[in-house]
Amino acid sequence: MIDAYFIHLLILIGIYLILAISLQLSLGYSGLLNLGHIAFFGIGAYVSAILSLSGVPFLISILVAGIISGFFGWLLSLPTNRLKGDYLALTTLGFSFVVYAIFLNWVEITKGPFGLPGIPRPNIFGIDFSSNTSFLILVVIFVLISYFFIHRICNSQFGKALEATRDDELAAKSLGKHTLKLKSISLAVSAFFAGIAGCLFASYITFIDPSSFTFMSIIPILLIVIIGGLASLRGTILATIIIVLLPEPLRFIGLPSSILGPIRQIVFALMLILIIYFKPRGFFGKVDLE
Amino acid sequence: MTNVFLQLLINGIIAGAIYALVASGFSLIYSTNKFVHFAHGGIIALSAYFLFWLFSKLGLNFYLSALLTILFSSLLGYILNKIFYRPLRAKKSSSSVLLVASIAILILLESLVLLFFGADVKIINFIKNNQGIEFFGAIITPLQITIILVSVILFFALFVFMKKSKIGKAMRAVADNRDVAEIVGISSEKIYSWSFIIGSAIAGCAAILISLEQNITPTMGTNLMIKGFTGAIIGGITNVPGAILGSFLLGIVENFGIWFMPSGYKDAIAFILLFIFLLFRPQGILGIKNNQK
Amino acid sequence: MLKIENLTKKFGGIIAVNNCSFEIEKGKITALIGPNGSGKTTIFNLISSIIKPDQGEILLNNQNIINYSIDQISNLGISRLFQQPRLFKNLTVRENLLLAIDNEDVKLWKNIFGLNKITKEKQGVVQKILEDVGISETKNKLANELSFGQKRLTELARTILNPHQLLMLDEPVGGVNPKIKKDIAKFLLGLKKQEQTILLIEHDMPFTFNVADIIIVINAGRVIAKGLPSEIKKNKEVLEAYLGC
Repeated sequence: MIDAYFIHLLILIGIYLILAISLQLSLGYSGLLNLGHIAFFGIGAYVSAILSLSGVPFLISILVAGIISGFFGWLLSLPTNRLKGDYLALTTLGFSFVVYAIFLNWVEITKGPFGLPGIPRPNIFGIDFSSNTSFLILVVIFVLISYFFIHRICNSQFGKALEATRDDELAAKSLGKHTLKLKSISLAVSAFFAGIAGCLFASYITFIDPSSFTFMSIIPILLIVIIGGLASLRGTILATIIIVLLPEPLRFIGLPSSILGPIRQIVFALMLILIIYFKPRGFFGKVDLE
Repeated sequence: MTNVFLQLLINGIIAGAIYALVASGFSLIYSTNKFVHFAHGGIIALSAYFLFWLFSKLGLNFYLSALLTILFSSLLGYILNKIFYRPLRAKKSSSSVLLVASIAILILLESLVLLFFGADVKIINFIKNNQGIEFFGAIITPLQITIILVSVILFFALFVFMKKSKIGKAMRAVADNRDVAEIVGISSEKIYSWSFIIGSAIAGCAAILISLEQNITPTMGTNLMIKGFTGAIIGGITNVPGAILGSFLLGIVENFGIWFMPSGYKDAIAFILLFIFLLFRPQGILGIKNNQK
Repeated sequence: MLKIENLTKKFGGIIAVNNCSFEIEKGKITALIGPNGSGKTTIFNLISSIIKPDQGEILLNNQNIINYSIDQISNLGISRLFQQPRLFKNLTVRENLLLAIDNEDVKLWKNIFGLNKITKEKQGVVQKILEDVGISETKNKLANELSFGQKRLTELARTILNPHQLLMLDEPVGGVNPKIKKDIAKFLLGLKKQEQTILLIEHDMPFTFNVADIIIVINAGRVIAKGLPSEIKKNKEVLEAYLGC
């Protein structure tokens, strides 16, 4: 029983980690305050759920989910290119509202508030991933792939060019960098991996509905990215573990879930405010939140 | 014989009045403080529940409860500014940081509501007889008429206050150019406090009226905030009349919009308008373009 | 090499650049001087394409460049130093400079597959310019942590590393101490020996007269004088405009 519980936590850590490092790419490295990141998570979840429910093999649905999310990330980058700071934040937030409204209302495809139940667990080349243990292995593989890619991007000269765009876009342009292209790729890749995380989430829980993709869900991810430190992938790993594990002890006090939920949100909200005030660089960050 | 057009128009004006109540307090705070105080919605939600607690749980007289609610909301706004925004401002935090903080505060307030009151819908049973009145083929209830009247009076009072009163003029000075205002002796911190007190008081009024017309839910704050914010952006977030105008426009467009599409998409209309305006005309219909960063 | 023709730019009711025309020669150091607010930086911003002119043309080697974007202007060979420091503050000096060398960094796949390594050659180039400019000890410091003078020198180095045929320097010695001023003067003269073309804006007259081959005087958005430093010094109109520099 305890094993099952830990495996569950590890799976959650894995999914949140992919979400967090993808946000780190667009926020920490590129300086894009993308508060609509959850929208890509949701798009990935719904796309993969619909495909899987139609019998499409898992590997194809996860790839398609990622690509479609990535496409929307790229799409979002175009009109928001000139926006900065809070206008960018609000516009991306607005984007997540629109996506949420579509999840809720496009009932023919998403079944609206009733959600999509019965999403099958992956079955790849005959190997069945129904058990949580095997699913964990799958998650670990995808975490490694995602981390590898994002790490390579961030530590390459491309990553430096992104950071330059973040620090001073005008100066980057005057060195000949095509910053729109840099930012578009950053958002697209960020959205792609968020979509991958969404697919894993959908396959794990086997049921999704719009309530998992409200704008509030960005808070724990944002918290992870800031606590870990902007532009620090290592810090993100540590912060993900902490944030996922932190509310867990409350479970053992015997509180009902109607109380647990709000308390968890209160704790996260307070932590976010405190960290913004006291340590906006987080543990390992070298960049201030601006 | 129902006059659909008129009915939709009336529904639009009622919705617009509600959004304008939210947007006016919010844009008062925005124009003075120059950041998006998303938690404004949380103040509305908490005030609505406070009213419910006083009136439905403790059984206090309604009008007394309403008055106490308005005091509560202004106090809450004042406190939020003092403990959260003021220290961040002292650290020269950017408007993006303050925005993120305000979203965190909104979630904090809504979670507190969930914690103490639970997730089920609450109803304030004050209005006993609220039969719809026939009006040229459309129906409008006395409560709805009251809401429109009260909001118009409130907006007028706000307008007079901003134009004539000392604090109102000082607020406009700070909104216009904080540094110059400081030079002529206006304490901007004091004005920030006042903007939160007054803006949140309007939020309290909004909470009261909305609680009577619609039901009280834990997420009402977020929903209203998004609508009020959209209205403010459409009309022009930096000035209060613009925010009010934009809110009425939003209400009307929303209600006419669902003539053509399923009613579930009502919210989607607002979101899409918000998204489009932020992209292409962030200063709104009445606003003046200012440099972003 | 660079020709400005009838350039005009208005901001609301203010005419910042007023039918301005001048030409600069290859291989020479040309200085734009003039009172504050005379439009010099605006002219620079027009050339860099940060703002668009209301009228007029900007010709680089006889090609009109007013419709290019900022990054395209840089890739055409115009490298700009800004008046305010614009370093990438969260990157080290070395990283700031490496970014200037080429634009292979924008190619995602090339970088993911490790095909855009920092070669010994690039490292050498960076090392050399750091030594030339005199700040090699700051190589691994974050740009944020530098003194003002070091920042200026780093930015100057970065501007020069950016492949160019024309250098545009906006107040390269603004606010730096006399020693660094001397170093920069020596450095610019060294660049001229390499036949580089430099256009600069400066307020420091001794520095400017020491370094520049040609001086163009701008007042109220237009050229009021152009010539050798010795000629400009004696020009009555110029002296009046400056009212004692």
